[in-house]
Amino acid sequence: MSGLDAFLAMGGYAGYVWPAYTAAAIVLGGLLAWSLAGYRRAQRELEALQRIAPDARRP
Amino acid sequence: MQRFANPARFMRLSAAMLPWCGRATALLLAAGLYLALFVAPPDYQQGEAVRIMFVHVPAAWMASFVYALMALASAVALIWRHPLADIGAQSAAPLGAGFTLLCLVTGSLWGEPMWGTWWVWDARLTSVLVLFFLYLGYIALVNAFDEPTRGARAGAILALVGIVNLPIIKFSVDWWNTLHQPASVFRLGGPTIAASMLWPLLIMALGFTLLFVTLLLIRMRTALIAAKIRALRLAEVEREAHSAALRHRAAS
Repeated sequence: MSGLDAFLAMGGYAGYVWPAYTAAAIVLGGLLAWSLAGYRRAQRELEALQRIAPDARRP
Repeated sequence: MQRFANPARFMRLSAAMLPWCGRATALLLAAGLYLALFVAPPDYQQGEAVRIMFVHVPAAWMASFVYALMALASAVALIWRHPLADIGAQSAAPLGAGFTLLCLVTGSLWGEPMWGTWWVWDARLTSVLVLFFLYLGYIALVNAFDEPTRGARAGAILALVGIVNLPIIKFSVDWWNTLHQPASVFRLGGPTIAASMLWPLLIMALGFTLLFVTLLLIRMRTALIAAKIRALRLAEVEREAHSAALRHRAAS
């Protein structure tokens, strides 16, 4: 068994270790993508509103 | 004036902090992953399955830490009515729920090969499941009211009541017989875990913490921008109503 195969096999626990790391990537990556999408949407909406009503631009 | 000055200061401060928090998170998680998968040794009993610990334990710590923070922010919101406190608690809740879910999933994946079962209704596992439902209940309650301030108040009270669950989680492994192992890092007398595993674990935990801080800042900024959008819309409606009234008066 080559080094890479041995690494991927995780000593026979591949079916548990890799799903655990995949779950971490999905949950944490999902939170990041979701939060960023909401942030950008809000920023775009605010810019659009301020373009329509520039006199309403207050700090 | 204080009410408006604080969010404005937060927006300035968080804008300066965000890029650095993001970079530090990426660096720490990359280092943590490398140490967890390549450098840390296999366990003498658990073999390579012990690598699940490097995501499970930081997720579990964050699950409790975020809840404690949420309850603290809720207390500040109830007592001092600080405008950022409610926003902070509400921004943290989905993040805490995510960490708790990750803790439960990875714990299940670790339990099957080590204990021979995906799930058992013992004190530790059940109290963490309750924590997950507390997060979901808080999110549902905050959004259940037409008036945001009432939702925030109800949510803050639930968050404070739910804090009783945190010591139960922490000490469940000492108070009851459980399949779950007792604490091996935060315990009197120092950690019992080998340094070669402790360092990757701590770096991973720091990475999780900074990821939380980064996401919290992003979500709080989003909430403040949304509040500003609502205020602008309201001002727009009022201006239109005012000019309509003027036209009406001029016509009659």
